[in-house]
Parts: sequence; C-alpha cells; structure tokens
Amino acid sequence: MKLEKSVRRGFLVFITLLFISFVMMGFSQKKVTLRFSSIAYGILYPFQFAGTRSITIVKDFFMSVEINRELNEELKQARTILEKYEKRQYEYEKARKENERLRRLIGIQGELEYETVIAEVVAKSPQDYYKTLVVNRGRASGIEQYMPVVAYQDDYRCVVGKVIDVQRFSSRIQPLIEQSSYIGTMLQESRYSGILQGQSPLSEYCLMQYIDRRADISYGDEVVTSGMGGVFPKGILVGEVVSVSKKRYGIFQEALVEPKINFGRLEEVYIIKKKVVEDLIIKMEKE
Amino acid sequence: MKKYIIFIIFLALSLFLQSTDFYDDFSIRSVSPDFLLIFIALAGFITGPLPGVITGFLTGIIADIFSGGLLGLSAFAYTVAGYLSGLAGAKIYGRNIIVAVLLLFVMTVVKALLLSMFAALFLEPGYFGLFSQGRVFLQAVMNCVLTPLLYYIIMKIEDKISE
Repeated sequence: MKLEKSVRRGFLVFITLLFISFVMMGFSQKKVTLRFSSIAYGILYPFQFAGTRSITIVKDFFMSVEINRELNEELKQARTILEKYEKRQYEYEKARKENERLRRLIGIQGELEYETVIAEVVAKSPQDYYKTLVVNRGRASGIEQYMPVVAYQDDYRCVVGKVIDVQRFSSRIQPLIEQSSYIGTMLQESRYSGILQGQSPLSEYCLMQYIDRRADISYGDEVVTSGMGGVFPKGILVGEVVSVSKKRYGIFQEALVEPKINFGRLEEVYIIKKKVVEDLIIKMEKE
Repeated sequence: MKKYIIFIIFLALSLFLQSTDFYDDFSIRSVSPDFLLIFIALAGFITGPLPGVITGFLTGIIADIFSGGLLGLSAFAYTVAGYLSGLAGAKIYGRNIIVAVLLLFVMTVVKALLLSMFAALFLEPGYFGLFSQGRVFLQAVMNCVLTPLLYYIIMKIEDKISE
C-alpha cells in the first residue's frame, strides 16, 4: 500500500518535472531563459572551476614523474629544433622585410593585427550532445560575445571557435565542431569559398558546404577563414579536406574537413579582441 | 537521508569529472561512459521513483547549465531515466545486479533517443548523429560494465553507514 502511494506520488512529480523541462526547452530559444541560464552558470562556475581544478591537480600529481622524464627528453629535442629555428628566423626576417617593401611598392595594405587575450581552458561540457569549452577569461578581461578564438598547435595558428557566453571571469566557447557552428571559409589554394558547419555531436569533422561546383578540390587541401560572416579575420587555418562529395546535379559541392586543432590537447587559447557586428550575426543565425 | 548524501556526492564528482579532460581518458573511439546516468539510474533503482525523478531532474538541469546547451534537455532525459529506474527498483528490487545492468543498457538508449529527439525538435535535425556508427550502443556497453562496480561501492558504503 505504502509502495503504491510512493509510486503514485513519484508519477505525479515525474509528469510535473517533465512538463517543466519541456517548457524550459521551448523557452530556451528566448533571451529571457538564456539570461537565467547565464546567471545560474555565473553562480555555479566557481564550484565547477574548483572541482575541475582539484581533479586536475590530483591527476597532475600522479603524472608528474612521468611528465618530468618526458620533459627532459623534449628539452633535448627542443634545443636541437631551436638551433634550426634560429637559422630560419634570420631567413624569415629577411623575407618579411622584402615582403613589406614589395607590398609598399605595389600599395597593398598589410593584414590587420588584433589584440589577443590568452585564456586557459578550465572545463568542458559534461554532456556529449553539446560540446562547449569554458575558459578563465571573461568580461573583466574585455571579452565580448562572438569574439573569435584561436590556438597555436604544431606551429600553426588554427581556429578553435567563438565566444558564445561571457561572465565576469569566465567565457564559454562554441568549438567549430559543434553542430550549430557556422564559419565562413575558403580553400587556400583555389580561393573558392564555402560555409563550414560542425557535424554530429560525436564527430570531430566539419562539413564545408556551398562550394562552387567548378572548384577542383583534392585530399589535403587547406581550408582557411574567408573573413565573411563578421567573426573571424581572414586567413586563419581551419583544417584540411579529407573527402569531397559532388552530386550529379546542383551548383554546389561539399567537402568533409578535418579541423587542424586537436581538442584533446587544447590547454590554452587566444581570444581575438575583434569587434563584431552583433546585429549581423544575430540576423545570420536566425536565417 | 545518508543514502541520498552518498548519491549527491557521487553525482557532484561525476559532474566535475565529466567537465575535465581527464574524462576523455575513459573514452574508446571517442565515446565515454555516462557516469551521471549510471548514478541517476542507481539512485532511482535503490531509493525509489520519487527520489529518482528529483535526482534526475536536478542533475539534468545542472548538466544543462554547465554545458550551455538547450536548458531542460538533459533534465528531461535524466528525469525519465530516474523515474523508470525507480519504477524498476520498486517493482523488482532485490539487490539484483543483473537487473541494474540491464536497466543501464536500456536507459542509455532511452536517454540518447530522447536527447536526439528533442535536440532535433528544438535545435538541428542532425543531432540524430548520437546514434551514428553504433556509438550509443558502445556507451551502453561501457555503462553496463561500470554499473556492477559502482553498484558494489554504493552498497558497501551504504552498509558501512547502516552499521
């Protein structure tokens, strides 16, 4: 009898909470819920930060001996590489000066340089259906919504994603592999442009769509940001083409792109302090 | 009450664990076990439908806030998981580990189905990708493998506290 009563009460609460969850999902698209979510996240962030940091400290402690050995090995290798790079640096400086001189000569304006803020990745989404990253820089460091995020890996500057939510001391980043991420891109060699979209939640690949059918794309072609869309500056490396799909009909073709950035190794990112046209982005997202 | 505290501690730890890159170390083919689901299902299974529902809902809401995704999406899926596990526990509870393991398999698939369905409804159609290449089933197997161990740990702690 008592069990039946408990089950019945459980059922009533179950239906009520399901209804609340459903309503929340419906309102989640509206600004008011986003703000509630932001406030709630602002309150919970210190606990998440403390929790993730303590787990990292414990993990690091146990790994420190192994890391020390690896570091010694890496140090030796790094010294050898450094020597090589010092030589290259001289060559590079020479080429850069020559490039500047030639640009001045033909009247091309140099690439705009933006101020960047270095941020540490402190947490990631606990859910696998929606991939986001949390970094320890926020409004206090001048971060704003939709600012582009890049990182340096294997000597490349590559796209990570964009800032989608900003708190005082933390920001949430939507990585380029997230399904609702759209980036204006183009093929480095042929200069044909397209729109890069994240794939399924468990896929590390992105799909470059709306590429002109006439473009000759092959495996390994580099994809860079096109500067269109108002978020990313032009020319930042995104990834490499791994396969191309060209249907028999239509004016476009698609390419599967493997992002250059390895999210598993991502520790630090650079947030580019580029002012974005918010109205334009909101309009584009709606469309 | 002490029983609930055990689950709150385990769920908080799972939430933080799943927020770190340490969690990726558990992954096979970039699929990791869902510790939150395991503890919610076990909470429902051991304590009954009402605590299961409340645990699932609150954990889901916090997970949604942390992930920045659609608010209420995980809450919905975990509430269902908590309730169904609670119902299974109330009807056939006898500290039967096989029932708990089977439950976790079913709950993983149900959770993925609900997430895909509502994400497709409110976000983008492509979220059905959760089912691509049998990854959900891989996660279900991983959850099933971990369940007996975690179930045993919870039972041991519960017995210690009862003594």
